[in-house]
Amino acid sequence: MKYCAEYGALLDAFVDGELSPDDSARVREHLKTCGGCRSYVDAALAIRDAFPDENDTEVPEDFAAVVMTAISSGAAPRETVPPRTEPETEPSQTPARRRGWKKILLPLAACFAVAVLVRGIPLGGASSGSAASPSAAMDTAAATAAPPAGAEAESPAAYAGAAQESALDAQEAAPAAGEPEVGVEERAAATEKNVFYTASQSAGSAETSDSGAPTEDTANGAAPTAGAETVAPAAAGGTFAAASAESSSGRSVSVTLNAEQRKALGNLLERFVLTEAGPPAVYRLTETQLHDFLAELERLDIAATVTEPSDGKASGGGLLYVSPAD
Amino acid sequence: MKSPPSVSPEQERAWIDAARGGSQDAFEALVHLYEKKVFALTSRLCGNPEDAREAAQEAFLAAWQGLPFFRGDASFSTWLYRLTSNACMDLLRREQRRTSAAGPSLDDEEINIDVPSPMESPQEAAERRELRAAIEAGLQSLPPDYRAVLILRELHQLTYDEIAQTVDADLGTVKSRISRGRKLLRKFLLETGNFSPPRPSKETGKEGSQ
Repeated sequence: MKYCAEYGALLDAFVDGELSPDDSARVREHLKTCGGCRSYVDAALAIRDAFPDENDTEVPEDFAAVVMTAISSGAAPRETVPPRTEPETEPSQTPARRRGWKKILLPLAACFAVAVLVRGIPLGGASSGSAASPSAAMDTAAATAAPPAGAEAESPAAYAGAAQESALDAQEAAPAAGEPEVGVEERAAATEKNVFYTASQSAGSAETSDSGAPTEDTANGAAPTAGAETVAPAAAGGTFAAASAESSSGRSVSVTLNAEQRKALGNLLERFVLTEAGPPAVYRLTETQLHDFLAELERLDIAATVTEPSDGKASGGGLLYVSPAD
Repeated sequence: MKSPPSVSPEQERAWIDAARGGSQDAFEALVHLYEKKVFALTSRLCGNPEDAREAAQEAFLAAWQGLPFFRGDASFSTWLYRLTSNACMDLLRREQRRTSAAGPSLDDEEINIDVPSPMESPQEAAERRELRAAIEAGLQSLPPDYRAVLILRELHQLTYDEIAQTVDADLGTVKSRISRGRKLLRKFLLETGNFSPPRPSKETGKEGSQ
């Protein structure tokens, strides 16, 4: 016997206690006379009754120990807040950056043929804050971690990383200052590094090579994170946006998508944590997501720009900036 | 937030705060507190124990990294499940790409629910354990997105809102996934003969305790 069309749509919410009292009463009344719906509800409750619970789950005995070993060995270093004296001068940053992107991209390239444009400027902060003068943007970011102009105020913590990057933007984009909207290529040209990196599908094992942890980060991660809280003011709600900022000073990926490309990516973007509606939309990606996303871009032949963290340390995950094509 | 009775919300809160401040001991306590619930999700979402373990580990490492940014007035568990479900989905997608297996799509419209009449056999609510095993099997037959919301609903006992936050979908999507997922599961159970519908009496009309 099948549940009836009229009430069918309400039955699950009814079973799950998600209906308003009124609707719930209506359904309850209906169940008295409709065998089909009653049978559905009974089935749902029987499933609930016999549903596996957490005690039906085997946890490897050493699991917690393994996790803690990974943490104490620095496999998951916490983000540290850049010193107020940052940013450093450009020349001294460059070598670190180069090391950084190699560390990131070589493993990626080993698994997928990745064609990535590497350059020194994250897109996100620069484009949204382009009206401000570089030094002003830098000051703002360093002093208060205020969101760049145009950003949503709801997720300040998510800006811990973004603001940091915008400071860098401001610094590095100085040559291009005055241009309201700088294209990817032009921005790349504004710095000295502009590398088109391609590799083929051969060495499949390199993936693990970047698990090495920067010791500095580890030390800082174990220390009280007063700094982090200063920069990520506990101002507002936006719980998940804030939560999603974990290691947000990781690398950043910028991509410009036209409608067709967006369609080709399907609902992939929806899987990521959106921290800012944009444009550019800013997503927070885990290491794995970043990895997969770049692979997908490669498959679809969409160019992306990858920037490694300002301190040259890749710590897993990063931010994705998605701009609409004109 | 459901914790084992031995751990008070205050205690958990204290662990979260300490772990946020960098205490690895406190974080380890949280790992112990949540590992079962996390594995309950990963072991059912991921196809094999290795992936389940990897995803669980990734979730906890991400939690460690994210804690400094975690706002304490939110539900830690929901946040952790979100990290967990993300880790699983990432692994699944990677796996899928590797095998190029086109699983059932969420866009497949209207699942054909042509449920045979419930068997009226007096077989007493066919042993719970048996049904439970069948449910496990049925869950594996579901598309991962349906599986995830059902597990979060029935095992982790999250509300629709919490599930929406966890799987990063809107409320309507969650509703529809739960509904379709449950219908698919019910269909599976009926078709495999593992499901003897309950005595249609006392429980009817009682809303699920959420």
